Amino acid sequence: MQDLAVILGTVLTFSTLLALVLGTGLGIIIGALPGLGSVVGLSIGLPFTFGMETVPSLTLLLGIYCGSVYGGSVSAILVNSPGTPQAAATTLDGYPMAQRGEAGLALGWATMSSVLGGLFSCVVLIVAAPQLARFATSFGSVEVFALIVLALTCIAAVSAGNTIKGLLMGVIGLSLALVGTDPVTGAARFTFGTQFLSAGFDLIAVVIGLFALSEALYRVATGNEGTAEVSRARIIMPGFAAWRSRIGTLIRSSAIGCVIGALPGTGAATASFISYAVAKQSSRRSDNFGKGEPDGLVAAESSNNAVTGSAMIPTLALGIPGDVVTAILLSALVVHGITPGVRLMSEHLDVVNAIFIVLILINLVMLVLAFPLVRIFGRLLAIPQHLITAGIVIFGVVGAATVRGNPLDVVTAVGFAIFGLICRLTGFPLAPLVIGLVLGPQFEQTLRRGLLLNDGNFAAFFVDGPLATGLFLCVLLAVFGPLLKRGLRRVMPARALRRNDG
Amino acid sequence: MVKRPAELAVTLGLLAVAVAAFAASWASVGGVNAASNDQPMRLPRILLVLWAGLAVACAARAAFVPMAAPTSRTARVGAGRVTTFAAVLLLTAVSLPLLGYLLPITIGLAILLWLLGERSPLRFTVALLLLGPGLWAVFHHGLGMRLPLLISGGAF
Repeated sequence: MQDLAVILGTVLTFSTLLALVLGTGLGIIIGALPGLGSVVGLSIGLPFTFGMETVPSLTLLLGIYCGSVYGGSVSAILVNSPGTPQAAATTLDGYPMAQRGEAGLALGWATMSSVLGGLFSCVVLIVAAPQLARFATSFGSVEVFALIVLALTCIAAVSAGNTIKGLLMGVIGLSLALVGTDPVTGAARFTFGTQFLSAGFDLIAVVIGLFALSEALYRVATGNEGTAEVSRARIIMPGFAAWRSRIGTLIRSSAIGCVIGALPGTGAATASFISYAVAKQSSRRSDNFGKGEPDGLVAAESSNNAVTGSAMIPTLALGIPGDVVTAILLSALVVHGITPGVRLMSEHLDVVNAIFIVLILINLVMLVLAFPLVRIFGRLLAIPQHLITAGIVIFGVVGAATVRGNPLDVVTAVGFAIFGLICRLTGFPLAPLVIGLVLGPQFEQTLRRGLLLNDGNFAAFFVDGPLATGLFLCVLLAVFGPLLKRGLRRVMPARALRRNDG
Repeated sequence: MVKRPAELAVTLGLLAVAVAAFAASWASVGGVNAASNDQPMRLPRILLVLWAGLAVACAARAAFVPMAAPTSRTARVGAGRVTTFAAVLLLTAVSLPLLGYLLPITIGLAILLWLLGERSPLRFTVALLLLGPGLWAVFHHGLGMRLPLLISGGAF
């Protein structure tokens, strides 16, 4: 009880509460504006956090994240254009409801489902993360190394495009993390005699370049202009009687969101489509799906918001970011002098506890802020897209320039923006690169420590203990599993054909 | 006939970077701690070999496996426009260490707004003033987050 009072004392400060309201509000607006997703929102929000304390800065970023996931549903329902990819499944039933004049009710279903899904995942996070963290403290260098390899492999395996491209980007990310002064020997690596590179690439400058600035370039390349027609609406909350038959869908979809969110490399878009499909199969009103069925909205929105909390489980318990959003959150921790890793929860329990409380508060604040923000959404959407693009560029430049106070970081960011655009246009996934860059220093540290402990014998890593062996087996499965599956698919029809011939 | 020329070009570019970095890893000599027998370039070299191997695999795929869906036409249409936009952005970024934040950003932003198609004088001026000097004033003076200066210790 005394601990709870201390945590609440950390969270219930003016700066944290202000960051909570501003972050969540900004997140809802950014999420609602088509084309701007959670990552761009976080990139824009990052420069504001540099001068803040740890808890308020994380609150601002978490608010933007959770708010943007919900905000995507607003434009999905009102203009049939999901503000974020996570809200793509919401359009399937949300927009048909708006078309038949029930936009307010659709927004009500989406808002309540988002809030309840988010709260559900907070409970799962609070229960699961400490257990996992307690288990993680028994990890040695070899286990942590194996865990990083597994995380990168999983993220690469489920990346858009193909596994090889994902692995390549992951390896590039790890390699970029090694640029600069070697922490063990003090040797300069790939600095080419420059002082600037001796500290390595700044993670935040790279993230801003790859996501915010490259988004601006992508908009210019694809001519993302024009504004959408918006049907004005106010949120109308559905009655309790209407909810009663949908509680099962809500709980099941939130649970799916939690499980998928905790897996590295998946995310809210996957969760919402899986939940939608499961709800369609199990619903008594399955024929109505796609024609404006609230069950579809409940499934999509509760599951994509349930991801926000559970995505923090591996991030907080193991220091392993599952996606770009959590990688940015971890990079914000680094800016505040907190090193992510398996001991994050034991060494910075105050920060982690504050995150738990903040996540719950964000979901409650979201419910309150949704009402006024939905009303002014039409006006926000009237801002010409090219001015939003200019805004993204300027916020990106400010963010890169202020992170270390080095103007050359802006050059780095622009360079990575051009690289990011090329990767986007040719189908190379960017998430493995960023996660490789985040995990790179820890990857090297654990590898070298493990080699020291095993007299330089890398083969000993695989038999270091049952946990390490199990993790390495999972790596093999993640790499070769898709290939085996593809091979089996080719063999199976051939066999069936032979059987038919016989 | 190459199935995915753009992807192949990117992959070959990445392969070239890996090869160049691998060669540079042998030339690097600075700041080695003689007391340590650890090799600082061992892991980077292993990763660069992996990088090159995966790039070769991607190149082979780009050369021989056809694309599942055709490239978006809109992406090709804007190639000239995005190149100009990126060049202005890069030039602005490069001039920041030399000229400070305010001057290059104001000029660069004006060109970017023009390239983005803003032709309304009122909207152009308001956007330029708000996003340029306005945001600079908020961050540099309001929030106390120092942006690059034209003259060290100066106001701009």
